[in-house]
Amino acid sequence: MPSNDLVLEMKNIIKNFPGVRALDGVSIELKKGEILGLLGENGAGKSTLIKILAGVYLLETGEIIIEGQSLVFSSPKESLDNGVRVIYQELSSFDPITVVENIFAGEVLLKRFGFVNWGEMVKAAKKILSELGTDINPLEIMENLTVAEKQVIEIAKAVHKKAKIVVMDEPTSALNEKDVQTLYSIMRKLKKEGVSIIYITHKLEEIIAITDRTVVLRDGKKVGDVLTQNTTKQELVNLIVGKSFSELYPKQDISKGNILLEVKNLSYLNKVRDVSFYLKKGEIVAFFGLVGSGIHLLFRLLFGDIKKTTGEIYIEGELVNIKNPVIAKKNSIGFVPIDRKEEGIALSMDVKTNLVTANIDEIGKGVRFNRKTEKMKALNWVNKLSIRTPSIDTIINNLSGGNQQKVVVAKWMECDSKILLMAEPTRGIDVGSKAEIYNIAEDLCNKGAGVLIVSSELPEIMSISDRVIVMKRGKIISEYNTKETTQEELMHVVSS
Amino acid sequence: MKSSPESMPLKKPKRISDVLILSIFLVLLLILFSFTSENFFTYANISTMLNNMVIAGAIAIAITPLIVARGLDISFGASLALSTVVMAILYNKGYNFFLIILIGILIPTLVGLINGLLAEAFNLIPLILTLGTTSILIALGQVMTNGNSIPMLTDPLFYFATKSFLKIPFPIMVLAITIIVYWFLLTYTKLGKKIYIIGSNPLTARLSGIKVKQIKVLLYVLLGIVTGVSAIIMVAISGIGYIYHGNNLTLPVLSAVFLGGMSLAGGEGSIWKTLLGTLIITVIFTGLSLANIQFYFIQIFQGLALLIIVAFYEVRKKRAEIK
Repeated sequence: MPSNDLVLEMKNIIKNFPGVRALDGVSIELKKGEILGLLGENGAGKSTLIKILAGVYLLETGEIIIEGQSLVFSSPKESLDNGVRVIYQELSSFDPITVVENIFAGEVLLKRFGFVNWGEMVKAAKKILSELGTDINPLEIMENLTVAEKQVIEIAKAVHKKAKIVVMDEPTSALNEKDVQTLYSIMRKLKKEGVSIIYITHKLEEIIAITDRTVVLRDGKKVGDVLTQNTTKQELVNLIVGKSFSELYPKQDISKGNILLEVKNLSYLNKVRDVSFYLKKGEIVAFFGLVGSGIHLLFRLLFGDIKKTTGEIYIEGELVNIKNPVIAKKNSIGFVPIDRKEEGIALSMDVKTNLVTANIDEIGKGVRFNRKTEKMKALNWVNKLSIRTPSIDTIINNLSGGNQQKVVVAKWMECDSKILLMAEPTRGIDVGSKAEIYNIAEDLCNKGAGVLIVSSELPEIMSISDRVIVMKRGKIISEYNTKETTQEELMHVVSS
Repeated sequence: MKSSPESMPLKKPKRISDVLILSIFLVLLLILFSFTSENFFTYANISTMLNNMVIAGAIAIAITPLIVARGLDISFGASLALSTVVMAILYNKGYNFFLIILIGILIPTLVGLINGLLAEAFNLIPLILTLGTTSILIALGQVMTNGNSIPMLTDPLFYFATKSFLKIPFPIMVLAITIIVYWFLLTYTKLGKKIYIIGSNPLTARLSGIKVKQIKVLLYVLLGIVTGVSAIIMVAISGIGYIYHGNNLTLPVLSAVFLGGMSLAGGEGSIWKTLLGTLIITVIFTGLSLANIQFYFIQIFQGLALLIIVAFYEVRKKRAEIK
């Protein structure tokens, strides 16, 4: 292709942080109307690269060329003014304002005498939104929107500002399958209009589904730049981690023991209905279902976060009444919640505290808390699970998602949980950490524990579970041995 | 193991600690007041000053872990006042002294229990809830006394308020014991550790099997007990039961706590910082009094000090976030 087709060139970008080279001579090109996938583990340099493009970090070495013009951004605003729009993972929408105010973000159309011309603004917003194929009401309050809709608003903002380059940082991490499809169709529309997109994700399926070309970063270097249609998932994974797929997700053959957990006719209002299943020692059972299937509520029931309406729970043959999380913990149940930052960790506390949060009563004699024991235990887990942290005194907010998740799992291993409930255990974390989380789960099974997983990622379910239970509208509708089913079958069952 | 800015953020250069800043501020105040009033550093003044801070100090200390755990109780002034009133009434009716003392402690304890149970069982906003309790308690006291003060002069209380042991006045000993108990609780116990986790993220705490509600109710009750003890000290020092005893208590206590850098968002704060906050408030009050400045102006200064420090903390926090 002729080079005047290029919207963006980033040439030989080098970025150093004290003690570490985050980007080591990375060059990428982006054509008009192209969707470029950007892959890499956490820490590979994706975010740094994007932040340089967005003017958040100052460009020190290298060159940014937008439509043939060499530019240096000294602030995010300059980047915006040159047509770059980054949609970050944590959505920047200010909640208590309306959609139209958000799209216009501070600018107002004025009538005579300085009155705000709401009519025109609403009309303009409606036009953009309908062009994007949605019927969101421009006068709706932002906080009433779903995550997916908020994302559409962010894109609408980009369209309104006539962005040439839109960067999406893991936009689907909180979306369900249907919303993902809507997002794709919006992306295709933008592409048709000549907008170029850089798409950052951890999910290889999405790279294959939507991108034209894929750039892979590893340890601050570009290790791959391939046309997506000419590549395979396998190849991409190899590029990302430098390891092969089977090394990554080695499903071990773990012998199954006695029944660890048995649930009989468990119900919660009309949202979980008459659910019965069992879990053996050494087994990983996955629950699969769409939004409203009740799988997440089921986990909260099992952990005593909400109170069951009817039904019985047996642990190793004994009837237990799990009224609250304290009792669940006493019965060796551990819970890795779906929303890590809101429910899994104490964000402002250090790593060591988060590692022992569930087991404080066992650390020290009597009323005293023994800091030495805490430190020893924390160091032990950091080593055992290779949690990447500068020290156990680091505030956990500074760790990557994958390492935070390892801390959450370790918290339950610390109090010897025999039954681990994991809700979306690898959401928003990189391939390498994913593999590590899977390995931890399998190690637990090897030691006689059992693991229940809720996951919306079928490849994850297929690669680590022994059995899959499919739920729909609060009821179990079918159950499979994972080996004897396929992703397609599961998807079909759940959506039919 | 690799290192990168995303997975391994480098340690930020250490900030100057809050304790150091507060200490410097305190020393500056002390220097300032030693110039404005030559009597400032006399034993008499220092012991009066410390005596003045006993009640506000003890309550500020006791409310610290509660605020760390995202609770709040502003009814301590009213609860203390009602307790002094009931004690004085019972005394004048000739009840047994020890029974009176016991009831004096029980009333605020009960108020703390009710506040805690209501706040936790119904998830009420503690500020609003305890504002409500405050007005109920004050009204009760007004009904009992018509707003009049009731004398209660007893030998043991007079002895307690005026005498000292090894040159340390008894009320100051009570404060010292409160400080040590709470410092131990927050720093060295399992409960202390849990309190900070609850403050940092109550949901995570709950889903880690920590008894969040029970612990918070306990902290309300403990504050009640300390308020009860403070009520006794108040009667001892003033010799009266009076429903407006708590009027000049709420502002100094909350000022002291927030001067110490606590935030209503929970998870931060320590006994030492609260203590420094209390000292600063007390020094401002005493220093200005010695300089013959009117009480109302002193309140203006106290309010200003609070505003300046709170603004200072916010600015500092923002700066740290930007770095």
